[in-house]
Amino acid sequence: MLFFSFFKTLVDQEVTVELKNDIELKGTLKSVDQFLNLKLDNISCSDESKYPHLLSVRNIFIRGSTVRYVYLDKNMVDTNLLQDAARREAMSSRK
Amino acid sequence: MSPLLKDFLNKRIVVITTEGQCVCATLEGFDNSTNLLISQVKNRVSGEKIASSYVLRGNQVVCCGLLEDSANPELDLASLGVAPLKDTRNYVPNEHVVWQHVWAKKQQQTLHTSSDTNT
Repeated sequence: MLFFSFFKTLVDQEVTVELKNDIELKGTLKSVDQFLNLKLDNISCSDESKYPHLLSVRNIFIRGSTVRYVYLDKNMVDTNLLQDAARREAMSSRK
Repeated sequence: MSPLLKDFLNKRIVVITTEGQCVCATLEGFDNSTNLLISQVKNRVSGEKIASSYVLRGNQVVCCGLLEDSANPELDLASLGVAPLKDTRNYVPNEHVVWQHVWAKKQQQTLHTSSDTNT
């Protein structure tokens, strides 16, 4: 549940999502759910000439299981805080 | 219940599947595991009709986007020379060759150790 909360803090920020079929989508993160399905708004595809399938699409739902990477800006993440939280969650789930 | 797809209900959407298929359809229903019930399914590139309705299993869905072009409903992608989409599988080309090597190495090692014990 930690990364669900983490992604909720990133709502309304600009992110780039790389999918497992090598498509990269850049857009504003609009919502997340428990499976880390993402919803992006105002998307643009990094390789539009090669994959124009999403040309007339602005609002997109991405299934969490097909996401390879989510690229974030450095200042969006407090790595120390996240690491600490991850550790704490691991500890609490062990008990 | 994931409400994320609620806004797309009864609208034209573009669905990309894990097989690399891209279709254009009307979203009739969905559930928690992203199983989609879609109707008036058309190929996104050629515009050719595929089925009148269709249930797509959730694990085959990569993404689904809301089509917003009321001005040019089916934009002509066929003439653009579209590269086919990739599937989401992560496979190693010529994997059997890699395993052949591993196997050969292992055989060699066992040969060496058995000859060592004999001497």
